[in-house]
Amino acid sequence: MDNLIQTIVVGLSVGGIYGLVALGFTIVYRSLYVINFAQGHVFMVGSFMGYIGFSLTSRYPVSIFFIVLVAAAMIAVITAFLVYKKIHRADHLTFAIASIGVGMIMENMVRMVSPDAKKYPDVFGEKVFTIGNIYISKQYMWILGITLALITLLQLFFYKTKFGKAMRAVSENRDMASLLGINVTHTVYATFVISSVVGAVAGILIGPIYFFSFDMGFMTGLKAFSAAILGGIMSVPGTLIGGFILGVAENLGGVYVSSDYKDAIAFALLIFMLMVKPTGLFGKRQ
Amino acid sequence: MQEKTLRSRMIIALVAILLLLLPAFCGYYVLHIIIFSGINLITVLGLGLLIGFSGQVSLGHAAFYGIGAYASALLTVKLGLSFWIALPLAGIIAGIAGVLLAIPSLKVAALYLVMTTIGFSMIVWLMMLQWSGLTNGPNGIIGIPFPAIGGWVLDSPAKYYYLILVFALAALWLMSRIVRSAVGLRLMAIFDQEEAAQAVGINTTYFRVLAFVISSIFAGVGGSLYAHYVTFIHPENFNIWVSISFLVMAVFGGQRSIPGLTASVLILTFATEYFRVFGEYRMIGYGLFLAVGMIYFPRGIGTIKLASPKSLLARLLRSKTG
Repeated sequence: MDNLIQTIVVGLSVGGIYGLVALGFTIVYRSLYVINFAQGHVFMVGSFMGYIGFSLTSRYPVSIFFIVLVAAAMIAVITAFLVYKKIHRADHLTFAIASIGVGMIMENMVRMVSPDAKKYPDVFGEKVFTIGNIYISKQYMWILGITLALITLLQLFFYKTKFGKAMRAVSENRDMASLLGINVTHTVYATFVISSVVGAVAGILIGPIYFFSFDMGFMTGLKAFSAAILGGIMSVPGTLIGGFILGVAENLGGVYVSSDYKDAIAFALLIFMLMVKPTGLFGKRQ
Repeated sequence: MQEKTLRSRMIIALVAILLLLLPAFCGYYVLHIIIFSGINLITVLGLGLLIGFSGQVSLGHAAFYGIGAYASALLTVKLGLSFWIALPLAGIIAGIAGVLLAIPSLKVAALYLVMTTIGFSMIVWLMMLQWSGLTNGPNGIIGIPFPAIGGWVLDSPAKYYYLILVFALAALWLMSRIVRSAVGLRLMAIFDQEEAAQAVGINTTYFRVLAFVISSIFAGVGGSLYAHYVTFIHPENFNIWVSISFLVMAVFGGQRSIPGLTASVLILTFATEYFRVFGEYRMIGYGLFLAVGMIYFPRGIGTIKLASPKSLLARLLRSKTG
């Protein structure tokens, strides 16, 4: 029983990471109706920048955290300026291929600097909470806390601020929003900046749990994309719940069914869920 | 008119002679890449049918390719069957796998199909890796026999080239027939106007599954030809990157253009091989190629043939200013 609860808690925090990366897919899809397959790579780059920052000094973790987020935002602006801005109106397949290209560029640039897996510096402390026979590392608490805080902030941004409302207007009707004086190009940039920052947060959070390596982006991206689809890619809370379900299912499957087929379980679950509910758990019919 | 057909016949004859004599001109390495191009072409043609004509995007075609390769390898190595029996069986087994994936996928929308195909291909890949009893796990299968015609064993690239040539030309011929047939027209009708197609009595479900099956059979045959050429296969030959490269070739070729698909397969296969020396830079270059290619040719290179150099320049200028 204790083992079960512990597995679920670990699954929830890994799921939180999937949820955050998945949120990047959701934010872009909601406003531009395209899939950014470089999202997992943005997560990896965020993790890498965090690694560099925390290796330099461990004295100002909060400042480093925010510097990394600013850097992630700058990368988003650059890629949006060079590539995404030009093709966000194209066919979704065209955009998918171009974003796969962008992802390959990111992955191999990081690979040139850091070809081996690296142990992440310990940012959150190593304290372990004990409740009965359940051991929960402090890191997992941080992951869950930051994930939930970020989701709340994003919801507030989309529904309470003027700019957030403008972004939603663009996603509903781009031409009409443009006629009403909303700068569509700015919202395109904002979309990629937000999704990139969220991805970078996830990258920093996962660092202390796993090793960092240049090739971790694609697989995490795929799983996060499944989580987004699972929860319904149009809904922010749905996406996060999709991430939690995927994380928990994967960990339970890995512990109780077969660790060899851990990833297969996650994907089989996804296919099954899509058969039962083709638009995702919280998706609305379009 | 008379002169024109004569000229086109001469061109065809010239191309045929060139293709037949190719092993004499080309070095070992170039021939090797041409064989890979032929194998890729068979798979990508099937994928092109699926994407361009029925609007279903698969990011898991390496699974069908891999199923074909493993089926053919196991049938020849473990059961001792001849290549000529294993190849059609590999196609049929891949086709059955296609049905198994297509039927649950019918309910899901286009975007979600991408995900179910990725999921399917991950599951197949993990089975290749973990089901050691059948697939020999990460060690793969070695000693897959070369095909033989009578006593003549196709054990060198020059000999295998002719086998691939026959299969690739057959695939091209077959695909151009399918595309122009009633099936192809119905698929296009479903893609362009689903409701209208239903209204005139086209069974959209049936034709969607059919497109999926045809395309997985092509991939299965491609996989079988691959296995018997390299004689050693392991799960990494069929991972998600292979699916991506097939998808990239199909999209880059342009939708609904068989010459475009052929050109794209040749260009991308040669590019991947020749840039191998550049290591990590190769992948960066490949990524740039995809991103820039999609900016300037969002509908694939199959559309280039309509553009004269002048209009191509105009398009480049327009995309700069616009």
